[in-house]
Amino acid sequence: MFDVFKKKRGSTTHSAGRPPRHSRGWIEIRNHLQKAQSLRVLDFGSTSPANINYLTSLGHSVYMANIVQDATRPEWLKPAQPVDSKDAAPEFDVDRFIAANLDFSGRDFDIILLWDTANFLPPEMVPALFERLRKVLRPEGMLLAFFHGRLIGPETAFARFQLGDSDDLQALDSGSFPVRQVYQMRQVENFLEGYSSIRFFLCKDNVREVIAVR
Amino acid sequence: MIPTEGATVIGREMKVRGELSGSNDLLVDGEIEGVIRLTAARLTVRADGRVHATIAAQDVVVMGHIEGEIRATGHVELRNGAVVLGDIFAARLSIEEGAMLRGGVDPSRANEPFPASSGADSTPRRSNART
Repeated sequence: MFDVFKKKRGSTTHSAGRPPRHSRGWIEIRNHLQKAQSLRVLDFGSTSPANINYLTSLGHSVYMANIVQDATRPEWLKPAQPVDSKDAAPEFDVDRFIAANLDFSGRDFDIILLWDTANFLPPEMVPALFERLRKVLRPEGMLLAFFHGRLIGPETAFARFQLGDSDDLQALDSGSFPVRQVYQMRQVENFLEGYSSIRFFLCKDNVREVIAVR
Repeated sequence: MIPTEGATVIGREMKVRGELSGSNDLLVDGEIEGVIRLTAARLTVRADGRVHATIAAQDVVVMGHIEGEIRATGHVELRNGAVVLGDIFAARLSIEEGAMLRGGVDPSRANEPFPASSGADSTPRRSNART
């Protein structure tokens, strides 16, 4: 459907130095994308011409919503309560951030590609993020999420995951954001409470992949 | 960029609020808020341009900032530095590295008719403006 996706000549915005990562989670999602029609996909990665092209060429629509960078803006901080507390530090305004960045104008989705977004967000926001995603995911819809097992390491660099027909995902470095929190399996299960099924895949690069079905 | 012959230019210091419609190409270096309808013509939002509007045109080229829905019967092009907050309905879309899109892409709706002007001031659905 889209004729042309092109890169700016000489662009060096992203490095392609990371080896592709085999992804069981992506294989399942891809199989569903290839069989089903007219799915609504929510992609939390940074703007990716390749991903948009891939998804729309399969006949699906896609909504891009990279929120990691937005979450670093100081405008989302609010004074801690009580304000006169000596040790008060600004708090992340979860409700306001959700309202502004996860509204989606009444849309719901068949597939949510959260990638490893949760690791890069303020920890206090993560439970609310999953609750919000559960509400915008259609019944029988699928959510794919990655969770890093380490705070630092080459695999933890914030990346855009490039979609394709391969079983491997190409991870392209996409900004300098640190992993803010590592979550244990029990915590992830709590985030996904209310989903009808949850499956975990533990990968060699210390990344835990999760597919949750609403 | 040399203006296309016959194109209308919204200069950098200009701010326009309301509905702009016509059949000439439109180049935007300033600010527009409202609705833009171009019949068989191109909208170009240059690097300094800020558009907060619902857009219907044949082609749309973005190097600046658009907040609102974009419908194109031809081609939408997001160049390096473009920021688009809104949905794109176009049969042909190209995105350069360095462009940012926050919104939906649905080529199947590219041929949906554009809502008729009510004559009232129409503002896009999004309210969280970004700079």
